[in-house]
Amino acid sequence: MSETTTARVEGLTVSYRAGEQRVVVAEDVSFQLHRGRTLGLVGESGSGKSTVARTLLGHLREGSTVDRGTVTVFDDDVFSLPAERLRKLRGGTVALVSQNAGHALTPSMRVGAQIREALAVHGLPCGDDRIVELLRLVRLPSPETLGRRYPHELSGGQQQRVAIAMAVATDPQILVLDEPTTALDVVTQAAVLALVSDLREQLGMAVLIVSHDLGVVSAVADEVLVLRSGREVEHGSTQQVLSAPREEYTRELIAAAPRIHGVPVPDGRDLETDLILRCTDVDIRYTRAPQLAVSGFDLEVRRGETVAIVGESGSGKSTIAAALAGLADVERGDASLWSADGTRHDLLGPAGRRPVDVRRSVQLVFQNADLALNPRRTVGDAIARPLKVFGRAKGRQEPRASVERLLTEVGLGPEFADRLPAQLSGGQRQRVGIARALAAEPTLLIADEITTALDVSVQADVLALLDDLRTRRALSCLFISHDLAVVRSVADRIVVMKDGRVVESAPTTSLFENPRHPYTRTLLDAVVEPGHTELPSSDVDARVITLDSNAALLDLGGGHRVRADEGVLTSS
Amino acid sequence: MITRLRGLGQVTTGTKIGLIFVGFTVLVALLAPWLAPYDPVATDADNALAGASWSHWLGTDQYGRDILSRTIEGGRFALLVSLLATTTAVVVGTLIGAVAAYYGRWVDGAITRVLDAVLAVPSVLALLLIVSVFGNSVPVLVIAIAVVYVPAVARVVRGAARPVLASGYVTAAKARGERSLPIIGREVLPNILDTVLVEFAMRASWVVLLVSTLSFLGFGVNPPTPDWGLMIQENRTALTVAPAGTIAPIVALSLLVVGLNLAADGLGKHFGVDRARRGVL
Amino acid sequence: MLRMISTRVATSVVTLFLAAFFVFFAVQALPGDVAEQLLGQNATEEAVATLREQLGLDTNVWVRFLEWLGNAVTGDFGTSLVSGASVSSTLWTAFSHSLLIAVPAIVVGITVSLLLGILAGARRGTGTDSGVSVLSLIAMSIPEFVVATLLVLALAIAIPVFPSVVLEGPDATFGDLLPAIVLPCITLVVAMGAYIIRAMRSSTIDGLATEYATTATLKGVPRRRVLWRHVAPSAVLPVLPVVSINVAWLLGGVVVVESVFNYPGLGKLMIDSVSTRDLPVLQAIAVLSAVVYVTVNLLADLLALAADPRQRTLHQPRRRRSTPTPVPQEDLR
Repeated sequence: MSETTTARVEGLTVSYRAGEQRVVVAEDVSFQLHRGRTLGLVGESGSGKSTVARTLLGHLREGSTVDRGTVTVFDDDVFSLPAERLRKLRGGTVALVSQNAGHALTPSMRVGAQIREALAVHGLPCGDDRIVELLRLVRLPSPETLGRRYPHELSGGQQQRVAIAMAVATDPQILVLDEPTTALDVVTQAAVLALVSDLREQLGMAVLIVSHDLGVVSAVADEVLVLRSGREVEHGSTQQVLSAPREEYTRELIAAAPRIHGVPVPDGRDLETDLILRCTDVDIRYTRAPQLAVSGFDLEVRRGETVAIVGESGSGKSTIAAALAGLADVERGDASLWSADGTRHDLLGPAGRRPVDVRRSVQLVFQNADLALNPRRTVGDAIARPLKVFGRAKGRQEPRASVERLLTEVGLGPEFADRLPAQLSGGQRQRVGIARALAAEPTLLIADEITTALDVSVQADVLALLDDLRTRRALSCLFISHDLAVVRSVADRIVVMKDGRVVESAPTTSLFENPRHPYTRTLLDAVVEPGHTELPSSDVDARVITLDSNAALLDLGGGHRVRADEGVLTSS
Repeated sequence: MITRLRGLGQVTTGTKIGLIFVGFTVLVALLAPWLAPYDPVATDADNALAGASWSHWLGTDQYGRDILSRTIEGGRFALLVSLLATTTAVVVGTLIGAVAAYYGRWVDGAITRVLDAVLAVPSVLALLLIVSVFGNSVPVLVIAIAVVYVPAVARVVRGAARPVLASGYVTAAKARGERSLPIIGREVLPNILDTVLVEFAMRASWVVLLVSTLSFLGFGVNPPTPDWGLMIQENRTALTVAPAGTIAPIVALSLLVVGLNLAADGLGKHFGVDRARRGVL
Repeated sequence: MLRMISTRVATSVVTLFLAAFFVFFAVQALPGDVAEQLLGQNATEEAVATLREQLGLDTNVWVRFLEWLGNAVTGDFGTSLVSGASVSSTLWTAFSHSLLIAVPAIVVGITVSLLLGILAGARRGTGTDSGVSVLSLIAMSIPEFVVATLLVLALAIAIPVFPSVVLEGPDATFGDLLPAIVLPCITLVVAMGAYIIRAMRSSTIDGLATEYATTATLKGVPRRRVLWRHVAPSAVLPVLPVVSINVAWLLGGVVVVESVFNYPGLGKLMIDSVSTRDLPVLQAIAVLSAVVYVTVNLLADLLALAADPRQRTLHQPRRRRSTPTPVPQEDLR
């Protein structure tokens, strides 16, 4: 072992029992960690990356076993350590930060007490000053008092910072980060990644970061190891893997990653088609909520156009989807839908009171494909239902034929009609969701975060399908997402929302080339993607951009409108 | 539905034992008239409190009635009432629970209040109250027990239905403008069927206990009809002289209820419904 | 916080009112004449008329309900049809006797069951766990009267340590009753314990499988400390309603237990009143039980409120989730 090597994984094979056979989670994985260096473990779901990372702490899920290979931390074989030495290793030598700090922090304990405990169980000094020092180290606001709070009183980003403070409290030699930013908004993600980079330099640890996102890894890692189905695909310096990947799979992963830097914006189409949807000054409030979920929302969608609504959690973007589908009460404002023959329909009433034609014209596709299909009904049944409800197919043969045609159209096949949702993959389920929506022959398709839960390669396929459908069927689409990079490849126009208000609305090209609102710029700066390694500073999420509730939308021409808040650029 | 039920063949040993216990008890109750060696209500004053012998395997009680025959026949009443009452309670409770969950807001609030109010009176008390006013005929008992257990079933079903109602397929159906009953029937009920089945099994075990308790207290079946609860009540004064008169019905009753509980646990584990978590409710 | 508590108290009052309503109408608004039903078909016209008057059956049922409720609120439940004594004084004596067996049973029962549940959950899959699980399954499968009968057989007849029945009547003093409460107490503990043990076991297992328990283990916290400091406090919360329901339902068990041991408490009073069809007493007992149920539930809710830091601050209705439940969650097996 060389001087700087802190851990060595050699020929590691892990499997678990499922019924009669053994399922291999990781096979013959080898790598080393070095002091002051970061290794990124990248893979899609089922690649075994988390399992591999956690073996460094001698941790396996119940029922899993190490079949071959060794995990050595300094000179100790982790899986043959006696219990007490293993306990000392965990948190002392190797520390873990896991995916969702909201779940990883004990809800019944104050965060200060949890950090203190990490020190106490390793026999380290754990006075108040040390806790404050740690909270300050991870750049949490008012470190003197924050320790007295409970986890649920902190934001997601703050929780993750506490988790990091807890992990680095004991000055570990190795820090394992298991999907540390996937539950966070983009801006917070960028800040946390920057913090991780800073800490590594400051404390000189070896870092192992696990992520499904090549962008995240490329932002912080010196070395990348790509895993697929538990096997190593490619291993090399970040620079080499990203710029000159040797393996086809790596190339595919890189190509599928949505990005905003270094690729041209797809040509905006000039749509002079007729208007199909217009919302003016819409306010939405949840029952008895003190604040409006959405206020003063304006939107226009033309036939064949894809408009994206982008915002972080709580920005009100999904609320709009629900309202347009008649599932949330609109307090004030107008929303109109025009059908093909030019008749205007009101789009504000609840779904049950809308005329059939309106209900048919607006269709939803959902975020979570797992919950979007009734697990007790076959795929064919799910797609046939709207056909029957809206009288698009009668009798016995007709629906069946339509179902098969729709399944083919979304890239599955007629044979899928008899399957149950549980027998499909996430991407296939999402395609069924789209087919079900298409069955109603809608004018407007509302896609609410439909690719969020999918792997990048699957996401790219679903986006391509959506684009294809739009051109083929002259379908208008309202595409709701938290991810600017995803939106960039599909949208003609983008609406950026924050705190229930529209802050900027522009054709895709203008928005990316010439963002005017400070919030839009912050969002764009925070995007991490393969090959783009500049991170904003580690406290970027603490900079508060407040919206002036009286500010009006300024029209900058060319369809570019921006909210007149402080810091807005009115001239280019 | 199909996939999950298909796996019923591969259940745990506990579940199998449970199902065997229940099946055995039910079978014996059904065949009782042919199985019982004596008329269970025929008294024989000369042969009272006799010990076990070849003619009376379990001896006789204080009126000289054959204990084995009474034990064999003693489950019929409890099983009949339990089956009818449980079915009624589960069906009605499921509907109420699903409706409360579906409509939410004030409908849910009102239903919950009413259910809570019924729950507030302990089941034994409520039953005694009803029986003391309406008598103890089978229909009264069935309705009374159903009334007592509907709130608990409804609460459980309501809890199970809520996550289903928040799912995308229900939202999609609502957005299609489908009416409430088709949504409940097509989308919600099939997905809470597992909870309902487990509910049925566990509810049945309580109902059996409740019916026996009622008989034990003297408000269930009318003497001299044989019934386990009643037998225990009648024979427990002679516990030291003829223990079989008390022990036999206890064993029979326990066999049935342990069986029901094992089956409910097994079903729950199979479907992923955690019933222990909820305790009595 | 304060608003939450007051809402909770208000709903309890509504529940109580509804329960009283049901009890009253179940008994009084029967088809036919209550007086005739009570006295049977052979009763003389006079007797029926007297009873009708005594029950106030000639006045409107709603008026009677309000009157009865108004009196009940002040603690006046009328007079017994049988003894002619005031219902409330009989009721309170019986209730205090019942508390004498219920309170120790509750205290011992809850403590032991919670500990056993945590123990079984923490040692899942071991002999301890199977033992506890099997015992609780059996305890849950045999009715109270069987437990009581078996206890009498073992501890009063085979080894005569405790009296098998109480010989004193309703006028017995606490001193008289003291030796007699042991067996009823054990019966009640067995009856209520099983459910709490199972709930606590299940909740502990879930708690140990949480991300935060794993995180604590992986930061080097000893297993025992993970269990008691990280898992137990949160794992008890979902068990609280189970505990409260069991405590409230103890009253149902009390009926049986008191009948077996001839113990002069509320349950015995109930059985006697059912036999004599003493409606005012029955109504009073039912309402009292409802009060106990509602109070215990309220207490459990408030306790959960006090014990759960999340509930204390989350008073506003949760916002509908709008965004990312992101990402391919890797199967960690």
